[in-house]
Amino acid sequence: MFKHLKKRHLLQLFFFVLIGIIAVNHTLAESGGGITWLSSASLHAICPFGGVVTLYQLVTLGTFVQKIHISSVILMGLVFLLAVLFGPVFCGWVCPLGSIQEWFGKIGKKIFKKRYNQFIPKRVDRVLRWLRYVILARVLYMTAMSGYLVFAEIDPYHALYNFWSSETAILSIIVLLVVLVMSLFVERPWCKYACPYGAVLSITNKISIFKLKRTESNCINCKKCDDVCPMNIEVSGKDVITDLSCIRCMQCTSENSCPVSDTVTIEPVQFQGGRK
Amino acid sequence: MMKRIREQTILIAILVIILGGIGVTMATGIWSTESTKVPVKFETGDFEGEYNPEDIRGSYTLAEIASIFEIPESILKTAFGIDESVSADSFKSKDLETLYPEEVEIGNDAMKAFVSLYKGIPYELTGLILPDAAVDIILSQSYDFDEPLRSAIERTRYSIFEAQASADGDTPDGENNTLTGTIDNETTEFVNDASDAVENETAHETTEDEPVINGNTTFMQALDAGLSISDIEAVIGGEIPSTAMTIKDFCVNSGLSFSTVKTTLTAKIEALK
Repeated sequence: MFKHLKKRHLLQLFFFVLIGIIAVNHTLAESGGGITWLSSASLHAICPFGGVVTLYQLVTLGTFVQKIHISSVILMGLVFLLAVLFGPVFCGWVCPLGSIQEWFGKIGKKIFKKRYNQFIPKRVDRVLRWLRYVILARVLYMTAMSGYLVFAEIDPYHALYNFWSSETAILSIIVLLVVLVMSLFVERPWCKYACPYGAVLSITNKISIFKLKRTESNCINCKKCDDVCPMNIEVSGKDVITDLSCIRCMQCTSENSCPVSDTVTIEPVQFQGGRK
Repeated sequence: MMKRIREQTILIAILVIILGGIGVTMATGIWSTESTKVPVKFETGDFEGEYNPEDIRGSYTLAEIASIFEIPESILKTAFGIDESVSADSFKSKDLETLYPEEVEIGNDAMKAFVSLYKGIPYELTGLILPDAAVDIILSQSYDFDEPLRSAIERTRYSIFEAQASADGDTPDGENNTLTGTIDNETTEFVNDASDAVENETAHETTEDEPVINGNTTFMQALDAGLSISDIEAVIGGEIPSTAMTIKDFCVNSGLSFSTVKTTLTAKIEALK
């Protein structure tokens, strides 16, 4: 049944289903039911971004932001460890919100073929890519000032797994719907333009131990790597891909799309500053 | 030269680091997806070293309260008129609110007051209501409460019987019944009449949007509700250490009565309307 799926797709599916089961079990446990041997943690408790937004309060007051627990901080640490090793693989391999955008994107690809993911002019796209850093700064500041989980008000990830709950803000459901509809035109719009956690992890594209590398001497310049990149990165123009938007989905590698073996690979590369 | 890695390696690394990391922190007791259910202890005074009932959260179950404060579950159930068949492991302190009519505020604050007084720890009772069984149990303890406190405890008394009948629907004709609950310091009539249901519902909806100070309210939220910094600082008797801090945490850390602070701040918010 899953033979046609790649390892990354299987892992995405695994985490998507796992988080879904935990979310449902949490709702059941709240009303006295649920599966006792399965985690009934709240979504906030298993979201690594919760660890990021609570850091300031944890350091200054020694307490967590409302609804956040030590589990979020632990997950933040584990995901950061992964990111230091391999870059933002959490975004490309684990995050359920990224996965569902990707699945909606498959429908978009069927509808728009080659035009898919090419609707936004490059100049506009370049500016919009900074938006997630603005959102990150705003969320961190607001949370630090209020001690309140302000991001939950717009968080589409929370809405995805809690849309049935009265706890979920209407605005977050609207954001989720907008993101899913946009995914029919643009690949991973939330990840590209709005995700504050992606903004945090993006920095590891510069510092991760293993990086995506293109061996120019092998390259036949077919630009297949550019075509398949969900984040519209021009892989064919770089030796080492340290673009902040990369989610390390490995679509561009010789293991997946590149037709020449050992040309686009992931391997240890030293920090190269601004080098191409 | 180090080797290139394949997708399979990344997949295994993700599983090992995330699931393994969770497993290790679980095994070492660090992992927790809930607030720790251990109240703070008094750091000074006559009750130094004892758990502070003021820190009981609405999410504590009867079993947890019974265990932490060494009070028999049956006492807690009797005090609050909870049926013996109700599971102490699943009934939370905040669930008390569902047992009484909306107009009667018996909830987590009442639980804190009861536990505190049951343990012989004086408690600020302004604005609180306790079921008469709870009052009887407290007064039957052999603590040497002074007369003003004993009077204050008596004044919280609320007759539970009629309200229980209302909650159980155990009425002669099932509707059109008028129930009266009596509190010593004020008398309130609770009308459980089908014709008033819509009116009561409307009143409830109106109050749902009102700003309320509770255990999770931060200073910033109190400011957002319209209070000024000087308003709040006058109540807490000092500077706000951080707007992100919950008012309750501040009170517990400072040895202030959260109930008193809460009541005063709520009154100030009400006065702003």
